[in-house]
This record gives sequence, structure tokens and C-alpha cells, in this order.
Amino acid sequence: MIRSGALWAVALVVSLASSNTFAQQPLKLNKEKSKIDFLGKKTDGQHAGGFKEFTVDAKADFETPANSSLQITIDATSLWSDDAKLTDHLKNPDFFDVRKYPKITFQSTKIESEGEGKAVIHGKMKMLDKEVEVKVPCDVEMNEDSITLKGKWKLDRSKFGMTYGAGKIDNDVEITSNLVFGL
Amino acid sequence: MPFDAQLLIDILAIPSGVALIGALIALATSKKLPTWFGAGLTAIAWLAGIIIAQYKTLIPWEWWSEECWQRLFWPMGVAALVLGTSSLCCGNANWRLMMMSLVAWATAWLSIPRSSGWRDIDSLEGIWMLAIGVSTLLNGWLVERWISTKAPRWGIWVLIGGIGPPLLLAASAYGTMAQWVVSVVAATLGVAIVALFSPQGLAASIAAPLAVVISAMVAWGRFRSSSPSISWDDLPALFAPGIIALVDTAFAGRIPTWARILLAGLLSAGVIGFLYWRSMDGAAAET
Repeated sequence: MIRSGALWAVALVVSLASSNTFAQQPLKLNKEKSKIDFLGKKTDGQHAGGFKEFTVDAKADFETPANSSLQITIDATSLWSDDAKLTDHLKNPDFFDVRKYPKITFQSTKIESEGEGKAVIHGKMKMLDKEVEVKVPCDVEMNEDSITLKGKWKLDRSKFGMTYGAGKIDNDVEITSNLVFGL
Repeated sequence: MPFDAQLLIDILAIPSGVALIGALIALATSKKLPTWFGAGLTAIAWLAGIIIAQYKTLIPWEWWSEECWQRLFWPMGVAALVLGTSSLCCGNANWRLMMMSLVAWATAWLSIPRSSGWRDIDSLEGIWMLAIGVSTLLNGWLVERWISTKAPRWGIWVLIGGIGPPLLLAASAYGTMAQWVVSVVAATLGVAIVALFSPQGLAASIAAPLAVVISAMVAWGRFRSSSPSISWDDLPALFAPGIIALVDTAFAGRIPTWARILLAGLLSAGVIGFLYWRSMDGAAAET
């Protein structure tokens, strides 16, 4: 989801920079340089994790950014964390239930410019069979051969019915995404 | 209240308290009412303690949940109410064996997850259903036979020894399952305390459902890890209660009570040690 937001932001920024390109240009994700991570906090500490596998279908309309689209599909089974036992637990029904819900998706619905190098990507995130509207603030960095969307935001896991450990584990999970697209 | 303290109350204090109170009431009625009535009341209190604990924790309770392990309430309930009470009033062994077989089959069927996400373990389903069914049947039959013929008042504590190995496997799977398993053990302890001062009927009422729970816990513990790996190493855990009951039967009347309890504890610890050693051995091999 973070990625999709980033893609749209990229499209928006690029559109501001160059108005004579072609519409609905697909953007190619640089998988090696891209990542989607999370940081979960609890009363007595915190744990980092993320997803190793995800795909991004991004189409940038540099003339009319509103026509751009971004779709991210995360392979939930590729979840990792900083503790092997925690990884197992996170994959189980208390949290991501990856056997039952192996995919997490994000589909952008709107991109708003927030000034130079910044954008907000609106979209629908589906996880644990629940769809929730989310807003992803992004920093957009461009250079000669790539566009990078950096998002850092908080996701309320309880909106997806992920309530295990409420009171000890924070509902808000910090999401950090770094999506790099080649030009 | 801090999360951990609340959790301890929910999964330890409540199920043990409810089961203990129910067993005390059963004990109080034991002189005026038939023994099977007390056994039934104890079984209901045992089940109630477990269900209330589940309500109190964050697991959404459903009578027929998508989570197969939550459906285990049904074979547990049948085993507790039908087999637990009838062992003290209805002596038809064939009928009871047939009922225990049905319970064993239901336990095996309900213990294995079958949603589309579990297709990679389809090939293991048959052999695991067989292992779970056979262990439930054998555990149930041996424990019940042991309870009805050899067990003194403290006998339930030998039975509790058999919970150790499957408890270890299930508790290591994931949070809510571990909480459920701990609540089962807590409720059992509640009954066991009262059983020290009562006829053996109280213990009989939860012997059969414990056989159900024990087999299922082993299955869940294995299947509910993110990368299910089925191992023959788990067989001692599946058959732990039956093994303990069998060994205890062989020594009954030959060694003092404290030695029988110690022997049950040692057998359980031995199986736990074996499981731990094998898991450490496997972890070392992976690195």
C-alpha cells in the first residue's frame, strides 16, 4: 500500500516536472532497492519486520496525474521479523493469518500534491478480508534514472480486526516504505 | 489493570475457579445424589471454565467457528457428559467403546485445518487423522479403564502428568492457542484439587475429554506453526496419557502412592525432555 501511494506521488511530481510525456506510462519497480517494513511497539519494547515479496502495478499519467494508478500486492507469507519465534507468531491467526489470507493489497484512489517533493496517496487497503481507507504521506525523490517514493505512516491494525494483545501491543503500527522505480 | 495480570486472571484464575466451585458443589451433593450426577456437574463446570476463559480473552467465541480447534468444544463436551458420567452408571463396555471411537474420529477430523491455505499438507491429512484418532481412542480407553479400576482419589494428578508434553507443543504454537491450552489445564487443576477430598467420580468425568484435548493439542501445535512439519517424534506426546496410565497400572499395589505420582511426573518429564532435545537438534541442523 505504501508503494502504491509512492507511485502515485511519483507520477504527480513527474507530471509537474515534465508535461510533454505520454499518458499511463507503466513504472518498473526496482525490487532490490524497494522495501516495505513495519515497526510494532509494545509496553516493554518493540520489534521490526517487513515483507520480502511484493509486486507493484503502477501506471503514471504525467499529463493528468489523477488518471494514474497504483496497485500493490504483498505476499503475506514472506513476512519477516527480528525474531524467528515472533515471525511464526505473526504468521498465525493472532496476527496476519497468512494461511488463510496470503495476500495484502493496496489500490490507490486519489493522489494529492502537498507541495514540492511531497504527496499524499489515498487508497484502499485490504488485509484479513477487511478493506480500509488509508492515507499515505510520501516524500518523492527524483533523479535522472529513478523515482523514489518514501512513505512513513501509522496503520491502525485494529481496523482490520487484528486485536491480539490489545493493551500490551500498540494498535498503531509504524509502516515505512521505500519504493524505487526506474525511468 | 496491566495486560499480563488481566491475562493471568482470564486464563488461570477464572477457569480454575469456575471448575473448582463446580466440583465443590458436586462434592457437596455426592452424599445425597448419584455419583454420576456429581461427575456430570464437574464436567459441566470444567467445560464452563474453559469457555468463559475464552470469552474473557480476545478470541471471538463461535459455536461453530472457522477455527477448527474452537470446534473441539463438541467432542470434548460429548466425551465429558456422555462418557464421563456413564462410566459411573452404565457398564456396557461395547457401547462406550463405540462412543469413544466416534469421539476419536471427530477429534481427528476437527484437529486438522482444511482451508485453501493448507493445500500443501493435504498429503499428511490421512496419516495424521489416523494417528490422532488412534491416540484419542487409546488414551481415552486406557485412562478410563485406569480411572475406573485402579485410581485412588489422587489419581487425577497422574492423569495431569500426561498433559505436559502436548501442552508444550500447543503452547509453543501461538498466543491464543496457548491461552486456550493453559485455561484447559487450569480448569483441570481446579477439579483435581477438589478430587483430593472426594470420590474418584470427579476425576472420571474429565478423563475422556482430556484424552480428546491431549491428542488435539499435539496436532494443533504442529499444524499451527507457520511451517508445519510432521514428525514421528511427536508420537510420544500423542500417547503420553495412555503410556502413563499403562505404566501406573502395572505398578499399582506394588509401590507407594508418592512413588506412583513421582513416576508419572518422571515419564511426562521424559517425553518433554525428548521433545525439547529433538527440537534443539532440529534447530541446530537448520543453522
